[in-house]
Order: sequence, then structure tokens, then C-alpha cells
Amino acid sequence: MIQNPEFRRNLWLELSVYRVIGMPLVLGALFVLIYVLSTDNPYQAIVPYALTLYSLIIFLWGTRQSAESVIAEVRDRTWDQQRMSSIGPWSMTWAKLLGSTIFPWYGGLLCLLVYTVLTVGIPGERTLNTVGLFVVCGLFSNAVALLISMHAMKKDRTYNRSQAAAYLILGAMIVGPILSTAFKAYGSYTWLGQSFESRNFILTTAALFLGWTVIGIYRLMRTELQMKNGPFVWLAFACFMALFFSGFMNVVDTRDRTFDRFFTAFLVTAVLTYLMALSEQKDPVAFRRLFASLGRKEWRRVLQELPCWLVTLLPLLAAAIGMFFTSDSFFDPTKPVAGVRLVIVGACFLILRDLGLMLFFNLAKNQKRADMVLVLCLCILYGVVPLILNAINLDAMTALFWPRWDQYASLGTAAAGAEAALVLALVAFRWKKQYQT
Amino acid sequence: MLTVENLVFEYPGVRALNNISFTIPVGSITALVGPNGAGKTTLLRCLAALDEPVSGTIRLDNVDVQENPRRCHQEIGYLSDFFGLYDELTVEQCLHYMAMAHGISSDCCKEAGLVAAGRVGIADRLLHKASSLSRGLRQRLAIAQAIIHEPRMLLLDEPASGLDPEARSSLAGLFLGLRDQGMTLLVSSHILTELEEYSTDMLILQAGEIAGQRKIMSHGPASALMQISLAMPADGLTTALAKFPEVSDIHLDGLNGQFRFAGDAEARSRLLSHLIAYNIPLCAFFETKADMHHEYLSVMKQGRYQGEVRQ
Repeated sequence: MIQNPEFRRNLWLELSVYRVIGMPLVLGALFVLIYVLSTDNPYQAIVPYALTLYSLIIFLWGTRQSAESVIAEVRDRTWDQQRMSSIGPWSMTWAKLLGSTIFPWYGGLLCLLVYTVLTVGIPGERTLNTVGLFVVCGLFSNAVALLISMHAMKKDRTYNRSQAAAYLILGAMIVGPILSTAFKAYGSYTWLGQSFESRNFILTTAALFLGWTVIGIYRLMRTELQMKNGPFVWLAFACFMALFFSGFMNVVDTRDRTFDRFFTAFLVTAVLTYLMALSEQKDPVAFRRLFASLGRKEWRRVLQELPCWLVTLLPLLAAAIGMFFTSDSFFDPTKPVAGVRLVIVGACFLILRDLGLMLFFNLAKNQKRADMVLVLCLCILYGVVPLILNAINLDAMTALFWPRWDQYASLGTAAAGAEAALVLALVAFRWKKQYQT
Repeated sequence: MLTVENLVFEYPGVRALNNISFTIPVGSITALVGPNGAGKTTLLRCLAALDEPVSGTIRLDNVDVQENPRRCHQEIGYLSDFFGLYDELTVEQCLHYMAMAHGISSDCCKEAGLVAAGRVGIADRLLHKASSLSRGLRQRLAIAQAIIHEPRMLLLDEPASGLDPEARSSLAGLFLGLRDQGMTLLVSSHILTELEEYSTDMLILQAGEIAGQRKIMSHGPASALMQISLAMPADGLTTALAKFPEVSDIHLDGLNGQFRFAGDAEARSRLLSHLIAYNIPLCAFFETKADMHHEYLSVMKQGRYQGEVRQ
């Protein structure tokens, strides 16, 4: 571990003798203060404070350190040296994740040690589970911040203090629901028809998501080191997400829930598609490289050049097909199967249209605010215009903007298809005009 | 040898490098010159496998840089125009870290750091923090970091910017020393007089295209660029010079001429006697250096003229 140069550099910078001595002294002083201020059972009074201090140190400080571990290198112009070194992507991943946060973790683990000493053996405390949950959530929070900062760096490499703060907030926020659910949860969860003890299930889930986050960082690190990634890991992640969330669609009555599972998978993959479409770099040069590889039939290069939003369309389409063929078990049995199927096709067309719009804006000469324009455009198309039409009693016309289950379903699907075709034609026109040489 | 073929690099909406091809010979110090925005930094970053071109190939001794970027990183040292250092680390720690980062075994890291520091003349500053170093010494530390793994090719982007004349002069000595130790250097700079001190070749980049590639001096220490002047025209000069195998690249222009001579002082004396015996009316015979400034301006003028003709 110590042989990892990046980890060692972080040790030199983060763990000076003064800091190593200072941290336990400060924490010790705080615990003594709590002890002397408590009136009854002072040892037990320290327990929640130990966890609070851990949370402050790891979820805020550690997450900030982790979020800045790579973007600060870019800001300080040392990142290119690291990119040109022989440190591999995996070594770089864990050294950045654990090295940059080594000092907060030193403090955080001291807090957990105090918590463990004060609670072990006390009935109902579940010390080991709590420690595991806090450690996994701490690592998850740090990893998410690093992942988001590196992902954002692909689009814009300029360091921005408010952006760094946003990564910290996102990283810290993501563990909030996990911890609060864990501490409120009693009993069990049913997932894919199997029953799991709630806190163990949450701990396992958090560990799984931590694993995926670390894999994400590793893949981003590979691209930073000029190595190529294939699409299969992202595809596996999209499938995992679809399976994970659809696993909660359990049989609660006699109705078959297969449609619900496909529907959940469709929603999850649609969210992932939009998320990646908005956050990934849409570099026309990369598209040209993709087309060039296609032209040369270099399939390995084609797979490496595929953007994640495009790859996610595969499980999305699979979920849509699944919904199509199980639509007789749609959750509202009063809806006609044909109408449901039309809506599914219409929804796919609308997703295609939105992706077309994303490409159209990003292929413009000035694409600086393309994603912002796209969000605005989608808000108008899905929100403002249908609301206006509704207000002026032209409700039927909203079928042009929203998939509808009623008698206007076929109009809506036809309109969505026409919109998708029009937008894709515009994209092709803009591509030919601006980028085809 | 570094070979670049049909290299194209684009930023969204801008073609920064347009189908360029050239070769950098082993053991040379090539000056990469060109106006602002010509694509020098982009080219260096592509050569260092830090940025990926749209098309074209870069080969370092037949190894494709794009296909094997990590392997090439081991063979290439790169110093960016705006480099950073770990200010809170000492010079020794900076070098130790870079040695480890380049895969040098931990037993040899200290020694590698000492060697690199010695090469750039900062061996007496090992315990100083990087933040306490002057601009010139920071530059030296950055170069030491870039060469710690003994790369075959060293790419330097504006290495002398912001340095005082004395520091620049010592940098020239450093580059010549690195060349003599077997490295091939490609140095981007705006300061032609500084480049003249050490460059063997010049690569001129203009608007993303190669406007010219010139030899400034021979790579071997025994070869020199000779200048001669005549008192009156002489027909037999080329024939007389061609009799000497050490003579090459003869360029005659009226009463003046230049050629390369790969012989020692004794051979040079023999050549002079031979020319006089051949009744060549010499009035000047001396070693000179190619005027980079003149060459650069003439190539740029020619480039502009060709650009106008194309338009």
C-alpha cells in the first residue's frame, strides 16, 4: 500500500506529525467536554456525538477532500505529470480516494472507535452493523463526490469553487437517505420475492453501490490515462440498476407484476439515458471519430467510442419490448391493451426526439450552453405548452406533447414519431452542414 | 526517431492541426516555432499522448503513440508551458515521488532523484520546499521531474518563458548536455535567439500546418556550416568543393556560398589550400551558424504568399 506513489505523496502532505498528534487531542477534548456537561450517564451521552462528529468529518470534510483530489491537480497544473506517469488506473483510483481523505478518515475512525468502545455489548445497539454502515456510507459519499467531479471534468476542466462545493453537497446528500432509512427501518424488505432483514439489506445495498461507484471512478481514471473503455461495464450497470429497482415490484395481490417490473426497468434506464445525455461530453470531434471507425469497420474502436447514453438505449429498448409484450398485465385493467402499446411506442419516439434535440443543440457552432437550452426546451415541451393547451380547453392537443392512454393515443404516437423523424433529419442536416468535410 | 503522419487535431469547430507530417531525427534538438495559435502546444500534447487526434499516426521508434499511450509515456518526458509543482513538498520529495510514479524501484528512487537534480544543477536544494524556489529553479525542478525516468524524447513547451537572460543561457547548456547524453529534444519557443544557441533543427508551424523544416546545425560535433565569399565570380567553385567528401549541402548565391563541412581543423585547412590552388578568388572563409530568425521570417513570408495565392 505504502509503495503506491500517489498514496505516499498524500501521506507526506496529509499526515504530518503535528496533525497526527493534533487530531486525537482535539477529539479527546470535545469528548471530555461532552462528558463533563452531561448530567446522567455521561458515557452514553458521548455515543450520538461520536457519530455526529464522524459524520461531520467524513461526509463533509472527507467528501470535499475527495471531490477536489483530481480537480485540484488540474487547477494546480500537476495532473498532466500524473497522467504521464506509470501509475495504473486502479492504483490511482484507490490512492486518490483513500489518500486524499486519509486525515479525515484518521479522525473519523477515532470517532467510530469511541462509539464502538461505548456501545459494544449493549443490547439493541447493533454496533458492528452501525460501524459497517457508517464506514460504507462514508466511503460511498467520498467516492460519489470524486466520481461526479471527474465526470464533470470531462466536459469542463476549469476549476470552479462553487462547482467543487456542489460535488461535496451531492456526495454528502447521497448517503442521507441511506442512513435515515437504515435507522428508521425495522423488519424486512422483500426483493425479487425474497425477504431480507432491513439493516443488513441496506448495508449490502450501500456496499454494492459503493462498488459500482469505485468501478465508475476506475473507468474515468482509465480515460484520463488515455486508455479506452468498452461499453459493457456501463451496460452491466444499467442492467443492474433496472434489476435492482424492478426487484421491489413484488406480488402483493394475485395480479402478475411482470409489466410493473419492465415498467420500472424502463423508467430507470430512461432516467440513466437522460442523465448521461445531459452530463456526458458531446464532442462533435468524438462523433466524427465514431463515424470514422464505423466507416473503417473497426468494431472494437466503435464500441470504445460509443457514448453511455447511446449504450443505455439497449436496455431501455429491451424494457420497452418487455412492456409491449406484457401489456395485458398493465396495472389498470380498464385500459385497452392496444392503447397501452401505442403509449409505449410513443414514449420511445419521444425519448428519441429528446436525444435528437440534445444532438441538435450540441452540434451548433456555439454549443456552450447547449445542455441548458435542452433542459429549457424539454420543460417547455413537457410542461409549459401542455399546461397552456389545457388552460385554453385544447386538451386533446396535449397528445402532441405527452403520451396519452385515451382515444388520442394513436394521434400522440403518430405525432411523437413525426417529431422524432423531423428532429433527427435536422440533426443530419446540421451534421452535414457543419462537420462533414 | 519520432514520425508524424497526416496528423489532424480538432477542437469543436476549429481545426488546430491540419494533416501535418514530419520526422524528428534521433539526437536532435528541434526548435518548434510559429506564431501564437499556430498549434504548437496542441502538437506537443498530441506527441506526449495527452490529447487524442482525430486522425493520423504518431510513431516513436515504430511504436504507435495512440495505440500504446502508456508505453510511450515511459519513453517521453513532457514539460508544459504552465506547469505546476507540489509546493508543500521538498525538492527531494518531489523527485522521489516522480521517480516512484515512473516505476523506478524504491531502492533506486533516491539515487534517480539525485542524478536528475545533479543534471539540472539543483542538487544543493534538495531540502528546500518547492514553493521557496525562484522561477528559474522551479523550471529546473520541473525539467528534472520530466527527465527522471531517462526518457528518449523530451518535449518542452516554452521552457524559457519568464526566465532572466542568465537562467536562459544556463538552460541552453542544460539542453545541450541532455542531447549529448542521448536524448532527443523538441522545444517550443518564441525566442529565436535563445533557440539558436542549441537547436540543430527547426520546425515551423503556421495555422496548424508545417510551413517548413530546416536544419540549423549538424547533429555531429565535427560538422559545421561554412560561409565563403568571392572577390569575383568563379565557375569551378562547385567542382572544387565537390572533390572533398566532407563537403555537403552546397548552396551558392552570386559571390556568396554556404556548405556543410564534416572535417576537423586540419581537413578544413586542406580544403582552403585546395580552393586557393584551384584559383578560386576567395575573400572570406569562415564557420557560421544558420540565421534562424532570417530563415523563420522567410518561411513565414513564403507561407503568407502561398496562402494569398491559394485564396
